[in-house]
Amino acid sequence: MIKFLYDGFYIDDERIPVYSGAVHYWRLDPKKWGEILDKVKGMGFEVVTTYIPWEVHEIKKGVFDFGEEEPSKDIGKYLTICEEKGLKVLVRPGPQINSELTWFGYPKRILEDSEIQARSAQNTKAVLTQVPRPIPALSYASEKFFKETAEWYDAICSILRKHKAPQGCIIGVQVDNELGYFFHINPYVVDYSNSSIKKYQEFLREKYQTIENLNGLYRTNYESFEEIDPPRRFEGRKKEDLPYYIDWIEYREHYLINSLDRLTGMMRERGLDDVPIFHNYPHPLGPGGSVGATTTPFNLPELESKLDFVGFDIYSRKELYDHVKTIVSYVVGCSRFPFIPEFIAGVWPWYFRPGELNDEEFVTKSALMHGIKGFSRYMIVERNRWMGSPVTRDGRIREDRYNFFKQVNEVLKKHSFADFKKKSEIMLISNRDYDRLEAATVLIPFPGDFLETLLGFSEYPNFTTVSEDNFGFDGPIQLAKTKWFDAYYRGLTEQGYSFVLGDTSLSTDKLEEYKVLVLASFEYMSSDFQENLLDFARGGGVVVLGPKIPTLDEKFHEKEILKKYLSPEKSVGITLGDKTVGVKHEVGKGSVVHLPELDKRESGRILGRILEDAGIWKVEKNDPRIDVTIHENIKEPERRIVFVANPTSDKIPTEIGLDKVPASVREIWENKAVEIKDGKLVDELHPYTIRIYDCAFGGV
Amino acid sequence: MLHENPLMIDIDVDQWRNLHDRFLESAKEKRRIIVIHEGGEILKFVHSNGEDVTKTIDKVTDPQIDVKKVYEDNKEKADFVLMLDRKAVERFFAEIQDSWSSGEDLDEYVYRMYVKLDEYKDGIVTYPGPARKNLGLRWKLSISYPQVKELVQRYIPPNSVVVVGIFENSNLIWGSLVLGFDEERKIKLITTIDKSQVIRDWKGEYKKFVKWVEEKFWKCSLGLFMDRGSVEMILESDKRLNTIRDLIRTGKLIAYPVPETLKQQLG
Repeated sequence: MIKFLYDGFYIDDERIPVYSGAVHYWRLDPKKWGEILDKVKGMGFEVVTTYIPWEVHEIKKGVFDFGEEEPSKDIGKYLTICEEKGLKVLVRPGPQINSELTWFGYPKRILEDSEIQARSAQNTKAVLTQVPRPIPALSYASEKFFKETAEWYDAICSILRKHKAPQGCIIGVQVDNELGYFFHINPYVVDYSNSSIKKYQEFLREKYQTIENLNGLYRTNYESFEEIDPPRRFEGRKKEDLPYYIDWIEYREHYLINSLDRLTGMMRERGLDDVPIFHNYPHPLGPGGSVGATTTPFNLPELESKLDFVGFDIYSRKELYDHVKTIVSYVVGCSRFPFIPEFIAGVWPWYFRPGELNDEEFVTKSALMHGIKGFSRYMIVERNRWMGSPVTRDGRIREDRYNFFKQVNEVLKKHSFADFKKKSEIMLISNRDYDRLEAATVLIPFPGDFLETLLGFSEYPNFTTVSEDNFGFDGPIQLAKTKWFDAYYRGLTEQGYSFVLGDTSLSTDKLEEYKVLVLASFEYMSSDFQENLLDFARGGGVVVLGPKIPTLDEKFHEKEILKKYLSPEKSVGITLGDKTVGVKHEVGKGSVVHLPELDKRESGRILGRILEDAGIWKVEKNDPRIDVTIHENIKEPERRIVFVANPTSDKIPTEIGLDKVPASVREIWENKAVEIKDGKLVDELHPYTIRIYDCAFGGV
Repeated sequence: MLHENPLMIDIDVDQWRNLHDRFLESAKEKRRIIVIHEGGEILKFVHSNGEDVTKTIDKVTDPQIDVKKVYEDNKEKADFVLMLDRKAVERFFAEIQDSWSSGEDLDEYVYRMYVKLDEYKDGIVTYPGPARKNLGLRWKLSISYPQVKELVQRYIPPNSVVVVGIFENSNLIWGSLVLGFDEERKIKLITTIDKSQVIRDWKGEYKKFVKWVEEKFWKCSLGLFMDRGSVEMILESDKRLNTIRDLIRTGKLIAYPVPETLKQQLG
């Protein structure tokens, strides 16, 4: 039985850190499989990952070639070679794999089948402009889709189950790939197929139980759920109009979760029932290169209730440090196993302006800095429609890249990174209800585009595409929520506080791992989450929120769950200089701090004031632009790893003060001793540089 | 023109990045003012970088006049203005997407998308310049897709490879493109010259590059080798063919091999 914990996979109590690299067997000369895998091992990889493409293996409906005709398709033989070489394997049999294949991994006949195609709000096909052929989105609500996929799974799972660890090499299986409406993130593009609409109606029935309950909220006169057509564009004007649209956004999360749950069940039924099953959300940089959100239409916490763990893919450049920090901090805050299923090692040729190797180094260190515990390098061996990998498709080595990836693996192993955990006492929370509102109020529908969205908008909703209406609130929450989140994020970073990100779908257990929760709050907040915050504070935690204390629930019904516990008698003003910037309300053993305003220029100082009062320790640093994280060793309390990042284009001299002075410090990437002056780590960081200090305390 | 299943292999990232930088232009990177309206009622009026915008129109009555007015009011902070009628955008994308067929090449599909923008000249409006010239990711070649297609059909023999190599200094390759055309002149191969092939002055080595291509792929029908300065001269020229001829005559651009169909054109 293979199990996984926060720090890696385990077989018979032996830990296998999941530092993996992707190798696509069918795209390589099978005579070179062994030689190429040796090169991969030479970089220190003990795990490899591969897609298994339905598109490639199916010769005609129901007939598959697994090496009988073309040796390069002999997945069984490939897995056997991995076993002989002592490599563990993560497999990704789709059905959707993208993989820069012409038909995204599906047989062409599947994409051409109008019964399986998703439909747009205008009842047309929903076409993703991808390379080398545009493709229509498929409906993962279609029964025929699952029936077809079952035939593929029957064929492939019968091979895979023979290779499961511990006897075989397979230690994990990824279900589907980057499921997210075929990059039609915009909510009013898909899926309006009949099968999806039926599922939407079922979702509403489950949520509201009776049509009367729904009519009461929607202020409508539907006689049955079957009458309800989903919103095809946003036309809301007041808050009473919003539940209809927000339910569609929630349904879109539900659609993805249920589809993946069903596919996972199909895999488990076919013998993959005792290996971890995971999924990868698309890198929220968006196909057109736009930074996106981590929540809706994705829902990592809910999806992890259906399968084992979920990660986000990362392809980025050094200038997008905050993007990497955001994604990793979210996965670290939310997932059981913080894993990056696709982690940049080269890119696809239509990635606009590909970065250099130093971008990959900076991105790698950024992700480690913010706490990832496992990854799969995509692609560690190059192939058709990929460039910049350390090993070429014919097995040659690109020395600079090869040495870089080798060094990363050596550092991780030599310094036992799996034994370290990022120290964070604060969780910055993204409120899914407000993210749903933001998505619901998008004014312009447009399809996904791998080159660049034609209109130049981000696939993810933002201030350029969402409504500016107040809907009867004091201001446009769908816009203000981002300003507040950003002010918190900047303030915490500038002050030297380490934090993770979370969202309002997280369980209370997960929230209780932190001492402080920080979040934007407006007139409404879900009842459940208000209760969670209250429990958190009662138990001794500190909740920092603002600008409003909610008085409505997620249905916009009056509900003062939090507010009624915040009594003026148990409150004290928080001052900064002679200005009162917030109010601290005592709640149980903890408190709720309300910030009615948060000027982004002042946010750091205000948060610093509150967190100091809460006894939260911060790193002392000489320049607010520098970012620092500390990783504690679970086995050896006297050892810590300290990451210091300069995410700017300026050279910055750094002085970092920790809570105690290390006895010795070594920078482990360059393997050199570091000066401690007046108790501080003193260094100079070139632009876009991250230092990794191994600090020994105590009598070392 | 792009084959259904092209090989895009062994592409040198550094060369590829240089080509992107010089020859591609992204609307997303431009400073834009975005106006979204519904039948004239303005719902959105923002700058893509969040800068303040001077707003002297409060509704859209004549998109062609209004978009110009918005630009004139803000031209110091905007490269162009994008004015969108919601319903027009919905219709535009519905039409484009429903016309998809699995047999259509990517470039044909994308080109049709751009052409269709002209049919929405009051619904999807940009200024200065039409939407077709401002939006999306475009090449900076001042040559249209149909013109490129026509040139390929006229001059490039089927089942052959075209190589373009651009050098800086004498022995450093800055960028290259190796395009293989199949029997229907669809692009079935995209790669770059292996930089390890470039050892000495490119003017003495271009035949080696051609040989390398022919040994590795298919017969080379056209090879064009030049330095960066010559590329810039061609791109900036109003009479490109004349410029190319001049560069060939002065030895700054080497054309080798040259298909029979093109020999006369290149002088």
